[in-house]
Amino acid sequence: MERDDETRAEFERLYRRHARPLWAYLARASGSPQAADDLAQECFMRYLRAAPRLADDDHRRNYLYRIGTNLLRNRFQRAPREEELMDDEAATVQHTAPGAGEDHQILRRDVAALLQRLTLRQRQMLWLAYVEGFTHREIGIQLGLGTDSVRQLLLRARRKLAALAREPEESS
Amino acid sequence: MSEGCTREGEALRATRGDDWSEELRVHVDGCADCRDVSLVAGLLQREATLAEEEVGDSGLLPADLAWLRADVARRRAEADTLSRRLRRLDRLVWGAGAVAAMGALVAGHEVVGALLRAGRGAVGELVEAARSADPHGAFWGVTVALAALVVVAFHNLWAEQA
Repeated sequence: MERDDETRAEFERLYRRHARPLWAYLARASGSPQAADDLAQECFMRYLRAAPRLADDDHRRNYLYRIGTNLLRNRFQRAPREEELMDDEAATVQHTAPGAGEDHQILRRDVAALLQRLTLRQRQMLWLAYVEGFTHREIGIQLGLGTDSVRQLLLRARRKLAALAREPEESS
Repeated sequence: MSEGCTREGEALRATRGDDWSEELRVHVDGCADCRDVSLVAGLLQREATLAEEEVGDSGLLPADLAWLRADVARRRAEADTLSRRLRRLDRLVWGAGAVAAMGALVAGHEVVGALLRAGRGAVGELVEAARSADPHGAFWGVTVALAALVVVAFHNLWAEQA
């Protein structure tokens, strides 16, 4: 009974700390707030069922995001060939760096819409790296990729999102 | 393929913490990779703030309700696992019982023995040879029981995977 109380307290602490950012990740990577509601619940259910014995909050957060990343992949991934084609397209994107003042204007763009023009894997990588601050190695573990692959794919994804953000507004 | 800039990490940290040194700002202005990092990180962090504000309107449960729901799901999953194991054990016990009964019947029953001896084919001869070598039928009974146990075990494994 006491152990149940401890488990419950730990679960609720984890939930309060990570449910909102996890929901944000799931909502923007999937493009669907409704799906994010279900997926976030599912993440915590699976976490509790697996009951991993993890040393600290960083590891627990890692584990939780790994569950979320897998759930997204299972539910939303396109056919692998289609993903590859979109990745290849991103590889050809060149820098289109404007002056510093223009970047300030770009920050007003509808980023959620821009994200939907990337592949699921690109959205996941960008969010995990630039919002959640996961390392290349941690992202690689979550996505089942090597660290070098993550570095290359992240570079392509970043260039693609930057290029999309700098496109004239009406064409997006 | 470009490997990017070695100062991207600094540009990212500066963007996340909005803490720029003059020297880094000058570098980022002149470096396409670091400008991309700064732009993308800035866009995504603003988006994360907007998304977290949406959580209030979403169906995300409060922590105590989330616990209750997750706990019920966990207990249900545990009960399912236990029930599956019991079903497997149940099949195994019934299978073993049936096999033991069959073995005893084959080994000891006069009528079955007579029927087997009456067989003219290769199987009959094989059976007869086994019975002659082991008049009490223990070898035969154990062999049949083991074979049937293997069949039951494979059946259970198959059923589990299916």
